[in-house]
Formats: sequence, structure tokens, C-alpha cells
Amino acid sequence: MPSTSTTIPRTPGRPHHESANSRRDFLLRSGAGFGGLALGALMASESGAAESMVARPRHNRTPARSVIFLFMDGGPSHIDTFDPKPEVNRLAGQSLPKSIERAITPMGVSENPLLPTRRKWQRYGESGLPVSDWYPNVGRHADKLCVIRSCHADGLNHVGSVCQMNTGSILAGRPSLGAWVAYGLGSASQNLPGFVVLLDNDREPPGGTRVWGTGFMPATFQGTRFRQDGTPILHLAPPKSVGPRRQRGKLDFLSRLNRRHLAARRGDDELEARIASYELAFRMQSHAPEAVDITQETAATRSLYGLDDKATTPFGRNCLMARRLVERGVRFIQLYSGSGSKWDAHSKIEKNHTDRCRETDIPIAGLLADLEQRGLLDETLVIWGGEFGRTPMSEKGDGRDHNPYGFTMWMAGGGVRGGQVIGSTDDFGMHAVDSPAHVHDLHATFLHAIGLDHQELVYHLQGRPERATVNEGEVIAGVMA
Amino acid sequence: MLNNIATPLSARLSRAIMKSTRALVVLSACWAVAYSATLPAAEPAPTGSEWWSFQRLVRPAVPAIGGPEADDVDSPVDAFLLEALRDRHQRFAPRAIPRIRLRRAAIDLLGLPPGSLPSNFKVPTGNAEPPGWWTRIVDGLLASPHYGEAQGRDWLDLVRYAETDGFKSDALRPQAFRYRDYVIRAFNQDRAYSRFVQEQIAGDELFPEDPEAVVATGFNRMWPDESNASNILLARQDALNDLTANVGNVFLGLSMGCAQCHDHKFDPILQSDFYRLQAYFSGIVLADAVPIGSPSELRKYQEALADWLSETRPLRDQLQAIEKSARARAFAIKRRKFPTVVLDAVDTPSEERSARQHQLAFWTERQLPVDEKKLAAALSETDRKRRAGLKKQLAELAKRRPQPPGRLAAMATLEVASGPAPTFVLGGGNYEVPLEEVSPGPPEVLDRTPVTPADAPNRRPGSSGRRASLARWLTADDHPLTARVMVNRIWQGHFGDGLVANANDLGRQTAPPRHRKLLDWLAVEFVESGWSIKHVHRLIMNSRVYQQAGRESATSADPQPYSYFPRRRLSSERIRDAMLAAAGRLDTRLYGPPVRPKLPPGFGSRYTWKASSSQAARSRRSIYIHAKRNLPYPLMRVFDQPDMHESCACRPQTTVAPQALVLLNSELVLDFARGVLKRVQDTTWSKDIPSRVRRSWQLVLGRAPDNRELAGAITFLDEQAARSASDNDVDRANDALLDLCHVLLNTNEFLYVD
Repeated sequence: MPSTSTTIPRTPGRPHHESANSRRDFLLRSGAGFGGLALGALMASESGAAESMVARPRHNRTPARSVIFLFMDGGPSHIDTFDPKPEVNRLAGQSLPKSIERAITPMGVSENPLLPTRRKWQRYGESGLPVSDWYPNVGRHADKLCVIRSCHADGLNHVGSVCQMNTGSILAGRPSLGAWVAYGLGSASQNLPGFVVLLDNDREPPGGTRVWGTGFMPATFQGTRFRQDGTPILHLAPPKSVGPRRQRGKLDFLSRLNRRHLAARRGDDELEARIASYELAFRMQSHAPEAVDITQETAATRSLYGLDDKATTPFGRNCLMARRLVERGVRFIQLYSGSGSKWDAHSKIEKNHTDRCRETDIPIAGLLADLEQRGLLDETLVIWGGEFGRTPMSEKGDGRDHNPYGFTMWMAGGGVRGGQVIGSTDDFGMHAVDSPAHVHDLHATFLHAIGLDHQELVYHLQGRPERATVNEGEVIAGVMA
Repeated sequence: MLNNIATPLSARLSRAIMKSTRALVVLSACWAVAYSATLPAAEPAPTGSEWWSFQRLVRPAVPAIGGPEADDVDSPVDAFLLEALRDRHQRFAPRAIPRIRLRRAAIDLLGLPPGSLPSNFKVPTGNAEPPGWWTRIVDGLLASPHYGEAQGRDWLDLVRYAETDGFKSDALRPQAFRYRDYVIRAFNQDRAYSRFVQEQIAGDELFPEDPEAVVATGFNRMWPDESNASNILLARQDALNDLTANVGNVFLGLSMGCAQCHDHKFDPILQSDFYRLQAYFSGIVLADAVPIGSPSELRKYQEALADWLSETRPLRDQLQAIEKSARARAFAIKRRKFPTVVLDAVDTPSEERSARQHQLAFWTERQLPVDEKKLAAALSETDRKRRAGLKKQLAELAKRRPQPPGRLAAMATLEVASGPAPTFVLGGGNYEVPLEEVSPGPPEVLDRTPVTPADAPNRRPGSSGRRASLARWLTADDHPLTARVMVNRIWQGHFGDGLVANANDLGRQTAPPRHRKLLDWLAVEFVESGWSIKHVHRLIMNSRVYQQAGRESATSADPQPYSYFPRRRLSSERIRDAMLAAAGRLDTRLYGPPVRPKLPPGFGSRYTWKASSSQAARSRRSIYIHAKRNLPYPLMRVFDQPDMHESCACRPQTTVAPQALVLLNSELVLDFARGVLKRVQDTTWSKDIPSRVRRSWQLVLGRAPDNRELAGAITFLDEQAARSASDNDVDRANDALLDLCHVLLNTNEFLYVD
């Protein structure tokens, strides 16, 4: 029942909000996320509040408008990429010294011999940030990177850990970070979803579509997976048998019937909104394919992202699409590299990571360069990392086990102070020791960068105020410039 | 305001705990608060016990309505609402026309449009409504076997019903559907709600001879589960926490989950209350086969079994001694990640396990399957021979092993005679920080409101009776919450919103009901009718307020709630069921294993399923669609079906473009339109165009088109045929007619209920 001045909007109400009239209440329930903008515009003529649906007031003044989260699915080894550990090589073949606390790992490798890294390290840029020879092109952007070496998480296995890096909890059921951003900021695009997911192959990450789901929030805020081939969104185009003129004819007739139905039911916002949603759907049919049409890019740009090389093409194409989506106002774009746990190097890490890093090095460097040259880097937060890192101890002789106790992520753009390292692990990269940054702290920091205060961003569930950071977490000091 | 109350855990504390436990610590489950390892000081009496929902249930007097409004009072429900409306100088809207009311009632009660129902559910012909027509319609609908399917769906949302575990493996729960069928059946039989509650919490204890009641205990097992959890102790605690919180949500209508880590920030619920509630469940053993029988039969069986066990003990002990050490050697690597307490549990033979050991073994056994070859290889030659001999002897003795009077395969709970595991208040909600031990008991604030437990003792020999006592307490006639919570849910099913806005939280985070007297009156009626849910439906539906026309007919320009009937969109299931019905394909069979409709082509999920082979199975009502946690059926999810992890008291009703895309562009809905087209072209009907248009309107919208609509549709068919790319005139005409059917399935008139 439409609410009145004295009832609180039902379940998916906005934080701290008491509804003043049914129109507004309705807006609050369905205005944001995918398809919300048209509704905001629809209502703008009558409701002053509607403007906030288009671009909501942000909690703080930070430059970032969009997030590109580069997710290395399976857990990249931090000690072979951004966190050099000479002690591992010095004591190669021995167990961790007694001084290092033993931790549970899924494969029980705590007493296994240390596996030396074969990486060569180089200091880059003015900052002299060390990056291994697996990421030479990313290394050239070292002065843009804020490398957080003291990350830690709670999960041991992929599904729980990917879930936590996306939703804050190793247990399923909570909204993903992208959904929180879509909820908090709405979409800035008229015709595109606020949260888009891009995979580099057919396999989904562990947990499936749930990791970009909305959990207890309405489905409006969920990530939309854009496919690489054909139509980017499921059901975007009519069945082949229905040509464009027929489709337009159907929509016009539908609109006539619905308007007649509405005429006898004046003032019903939901009915109006559904009429509008069909128009938006129709517009999306042309806009979404255009947004991902990278044939419009110059050869130089395509080359910058590695599209002239088979190995770098899948991830490079996604990086390029991500930039196009940022330009079109999409808030949160998540790119999976090695989707389906392909970074999970329990054995033969040399081959595995050589391949994965090669697939991503040029595309990521290209993305950073392209964002910068187009003046988009300041308003785009780029995040790199996986669900956990890997152990210094060997597994199966030439691999590394999962390590959620200490690992690396980096942030760039979006007002982040580059060329710096925050926190550290112990001499072996096993545990975060200096300024540990839990997943909740990371999430609080990501949200902060895009203008959302993780304590202010509240969703009421069953009378319980829920936050993206599960009521924990602090913004990591020193990250922002 | 809320920001000041939240107490984010400092990174320092987080670090300290992580170090101190050096294991996987989930501190994130709730609000974290600082705690000390010592017992907290004695808690003061909870403040807030004066909150309305904790007060005794007393039947309020029905207001006397005089004057012109007296004509608007069809039932006491109207009197309560009119009294409030009169203060605002408003009245009810006029009664809606019979066709509208019939559709409203059929959708509300059965989730199906009237066109799919037998012919006795028809709108009266002629102008006058025959006396008693409406009451007969309501009674008839309540007697339909499809009633349970619609009402049961809401209940399944509450208990986060699913047929898989969730998490990565998302393992199938092959018996789960029996619980779904139990729920549908219980609603159909108008099972007393008190009994319905008792069966779900403690059916095994209260009604040991009743298979249905044992199936009902599946409620206790609906939590999402990581079947291959690495940390078994944490998995066990998570499961118990989830169950405890859900009991609070579903039956008490309180957000108990907040008290997992600290005293509730808003309600007078202490952290110890959470664990006291949990203690009722600490004895549950997760059983997939349950002995069924009368108490005396079960006692006889258990005594005989005890005798057999003691007779065979020496042999079993010898066998166990041989196998235990062999297991440790043979599976050393796999066992390494489990702590001793977990390994002890799984090494203890099932008959000897404590409740806690059963619980731990539930997760561990699946991860440590005994490979007979490897086990044998780990034995010395002598032991191998001894073992073979012992097994042979035991196999002989097993023939005399007493059998239970009956045995039911179900996803259920039971207890073991050694009694429940102890329950502790957990510091900060951390399973590794047990503080004081607690005994089972209701939340203190409700303990202070004396409740007279109903007479329903534990009747299963060897069970602790803890859950029986909780069920008894919850279903006492004078319990302040149980009846209020449920009548509010029933009200919400009819009006979209409850009298209390959040049906899962009648605590202080939710505004008190504006019509508290009405809520209380309904709750008292509910209890006094013998907890009959159908009685409450009758009270509501026979009222004038339910039969009103929509907002556009309201008597005021700024109409108050309940001065008109609120329009609602069909839920996801109802959209699909109504489309199946319009297409003439709805398979109305009740109950049974889940069905799997086809997934959209190119859906390409990591998780997928093979579609049911028969068209009939794929056309079953949506409640029977396989409830897979990692693959919610796409059409359901896009129209707001909850995601099966958290209790959902009220679905959001979103309006977004992807809904339009799926209705307009999916092969699925186009195919439903083809079904409608086939019926429109049915040769027993006239072939002329106006007749076909009328028929399509009737099948999809349940009414005849008016003249303007008819003319508009005929014009559309002409124009659309011209737009079609088909080769000949016949195909073009068919395409156009198909498009008409498809458009009708997309209309607001079809998707919304007036």
C-alpha cells in the first residue's frame, strides 16, 4: 500500500529516510540502479527530490566518479609481483623460521620448504617503487600506484574469499561492493546500468553471478554482465523473427494500451514508471551495443590495450570497454582476469603466472595510460588485486598455496596518492604486520575514494542497519592525496 | 543518528584477535564491540519492555460507528479503520465491481487468475450481485488446493527455502522439497498455526508418530551451508547462529541476529538472550532418516537397540581400535587441517557420538570419505585378518539388530540421548571466545511478560525436550508476539504492506502500527479461532475495506491508506503462472520433486541445470521450480524473488528496464504468446478478426475489449501485418496476431492487480 506521512517505507527504504508521500516513496524504491534514471527524469517535473536520483549527494568531496576493479581471480602471488622478499630466496628449501607464526592453509603447507622466486625486480619512476619483471609495463606507471602490501582477509577457499572481496563477508547473502555503489550513487548514465561485469572467458568466478549480486537488496542494483560477443545484455535484442519495425509497432501499441489503462488510474506512479521502463529498454537496444563497440576506436588505441596480440586481447578488450563505459557514466566496472580461478597456482606457478601476467600487463598499462591521456584518471579509481595472495612455502614442489594472512592490492587514479607503499608483511610475505588492512578497511577506502562514507551508507534490513563494511573497517590513512 | 550508535571495530582490535586466535575469525557477522575475556557484570533489567509488541494481547472493543458511515461497516475490521478515517474526514471508496474483486481475491489467495479456475468462480451476470455471492467466492477460493501453493510461497520466503546448500559446490538437498510440500499441505488443511509452529521447531519431539511433523523439522536445516567447510567449528557455529536469528525473525518478529555479538542496540534484547535462544537448538542432530513411531514403540525400540549395542560392544570396540589408528595413518594428509576435537568426532562411531560430535561429523565425514583400499593398505597383515573376522561376526549380529517401528527419509532434525551440547555466550560473537554457559530460555524481556505455555510435552524418548518447550512457549495463547506477527503477515498478503511496516521486526526499529487495536483484535480472533489462518482471511476479505475500488475512486483528493484499495504488481511466480494459464499450458498438479524449466539460451552461467524433459513438467506452477541457491531461475530473480539466503518478510517491488527486456524480447515469453495464439486460433471459435481479438482479450485480461479497444486492435493488426517481413499474407496475419497476444502479456493490466 502506498505509504503515508507516518509509515516508514517498506523493506528497501532509503537510509535515514521517512517518506513524505507515495510518489516520493515509490521513487525511493525503484529510482536507482539499472533503468532508474528515466524514472528520475520522469518525476523531476513534480518532485524536487527527484534530482537527487540522478546524481545523489555524495558524502564527501573526492574526485572519483567511477571505479574499475581489476580482479585477478584465483589469487595472484604478491611476493612475485609487488612485494619483494629476499629472505624467501635466502632460506629457500627450508621451512619458515620458528619466529613466524604458523597458519592454517587449505593444503596444509605450513611446514613445506620455502619456494624461491625467480623474479627480477626493478625500481620504477621517481618513487622507485619495486615491481617484478612479470609486470614491466605496469611498472612504468609506478608513480600512479598506491601499493597496499598489508592486506588480509578471513577466507581460506576461493568461494568464500571471492565472496568476501566482493561483499565483505565470506558467507553469501550480502550485496556486492558494486551494488553498494549503485545504491549509494545511482547511475550517471541514461541508458546503461550502473554496475557492469566483464569476464575474460566463459567461466564465471567462484560463486557465480552471486558475486555481483545484491544479496538482500533489490535486484535493481545488481551487476549486469556484459558479454563479449553479440548483444552485451541478455534479452537486449528482440528474437530474430521480430524485425525492428515490428518491434517498434508492438511498443507503440503497448504504450497506447497502457496509457489508456493509466488514464482510468490517474496518478499511479508505478504504472507510469513501467511505461517508461519499456522506452528505456528500447533505447538500451541501441545504446548498450554502441557502448561496447570497440571498432570505433583507433588502431593506436587498440594497440595500446594489446588488441593486436592474441594473448592480451581478451583482457585488453575488456579494459578498453571499461574505459568506454566510464566515459558513458557507468559507476562500477569489474573486470575478471582468469575468470574461474585461473590465477590459482597450486603447482607450476612459473608457467601459470607468466601467462596470467602477460595477459594483463599490457592491457592494464594501456588502461592507465589511456585514462590519463583522456583526463579521466582523476575521476576513475582503478583497483588491482585478487581474493588473497599466495604462500612463500611451496606446494607440490613448484606452486604456492592460498594466503589470506598477508597480500597485496593496489589502487591508482581517483585522487589516490601514487608512488607509495602502505603497510608491510613479515620478511617472508606470510602475515600482514605493519598497518594491516582488512578487507573491510579496503572497502571503506574504496568507498571513500568514490565519495561514500562507509558509515553513512546504510541499508535497513529487518530493522537492522546494514553497511557495506559490516560495521567494521576504517579508511586506510595516507591513501588519498 | 545511527552513525553514532554503530561501533566500528578498530583495526587494532581486529588485529589483536586475529593474532590471538591465528585462525579464520569471522568478526564480521555483526556489529563488533569491545569485550573482555571475563564475564560482564550483571545486566540491568532490560529497558524498553514497555514497547507495544511486548504487551499482553487483550481483545479491544470494536468501535461503534454511527451516522452515514454505519452503512460502510461490513465487519469489525471496517469499524476500526473507519474510526481512524473519520478523524480525517474520509470514507471508504465505493465497492469495486465484481470482476475486479474476483481477480483480486483469486490472485491473493491462489496466485492464479480467475480464467484458470473452474466455472463456479464466475462473475455474476446481470447488474445485481446475488446475495452471498462474495462470501461464496471467498469460501470457494479458500477451499482450493492451490491456496496452499500461493500462501506457502510467502512462508518459503521467510524460512529462506532452497533445495541446495549454496556456496561453491551448491550441493543438492534431495529431500528438501518434502518440506515445501509439507508447507503447502499445512496451509491447504488450515493446520492450526500453533501446531504449524510446533511441528517446524520440534515435530520430532512433539509428534514422533507423525511423518509430516518430522518433515516439518526441515525448518531447522534451511541455512545456507558450505558443505566442504575448512573450519568445521566455525561452520557449526554459523549454522546455529543462522538458525537462531531466523527463529527470531520468523516466529518472534524480532531481529535477534543483532544480539549475536552484543546486546541489541535498539531492542531490549541481551546478547545472552541470543545464546539462550540458541541453547534450545544445541542438541539437534542433522538426520536424513528418522525413526517414526508412538512413544511406547520408540521406547521399546530404543531399549532393544541399547541391549543389542551393549551385546555387540566388545566386538565393535575391537574393530574400532583397529580402524581408528589405520584411518589416522591412511588419511593423514587430508586429516591434517582438522583439529583434534573434529577428528575425534568423526572417528567416534555414530552410535556413540555426542550431539556436538554428530554436528561436527556432519561436515567432516563428507570431506574424509573412507577409501576401503587405502584403509586396508594401512593395516598389518594380522590386523587385516582380525578385522575381516570381526566384520563377519558383526554382519551376522546385524541381522538381529532391532529395527525402528517406522523410518522416514527426510531432511530433518533429531536428538541423541546423551543430551544437547553446552551453549556459551560468545565474546564478540567469536566461537573461540566462550564466556558464560547459558541454559535455554526465552528473551528476558518476554520472560517478564508471563506466558502460560500450552500443554505440549516432549514425547520422543531420549530427546531433551528443549525445542518442545520452546514451541510450547511460543504457541501459548497469551504469547504477545506469535499471533501478532502472523496476522500482520496475513494482512500484508492482502494489502501489500502490513499493519506493522516491517513484518520481520516488531521491535523498536519499526514504527508502531497505526491501527494497533485492529492488529490486536485480529490476533485475538486468530488465537480464539484455534489459530485458523483461513479465519483471518475471511475476516479481512469479507470486510468493506478489502472490497473497495482503487485510489482513483477514493473520496478524497489526498486519500488516506485504507480509504481505497492499493494496486500491486504480480509477484514473479504469479506472472509466470498467469502466462502459463493464458497460454493454456498450466499444469496444475500439486506437490512432488522440483521441476526445471529451460534456461535462456546464452545464459551461460557457471551453474546450470538440465531442463525437465516433459513440457508438462516445465509448465508446473512456479513454486515447484528447482530452488537452486546459485542459480535462481532468471525470470523469478528479475521480478524480485528473494535470493534464498536471508529471511524475506516482504519482497521489494522494483520497476526496472531488464524486466521490460525479458517480457518483450525473451524467447520464453514469446513462446507463451504462441500458446495464447494457438488458443485464439482454435477452430471451434469464429475465425473473423473481431472474434479473435475478443478471444485474446478474454484469455489474457479476463474481459471483453470495449469498442475503442477492439477498433484499435484491428487497426494494429493491419498495420503490423504490413510491418512483418513474412513471405505471404497468411504468415503476416499470424505474425500480427502473435504480436497482439505478446503485447497483451506485457500490459500493465495483465501485470497489476486492481
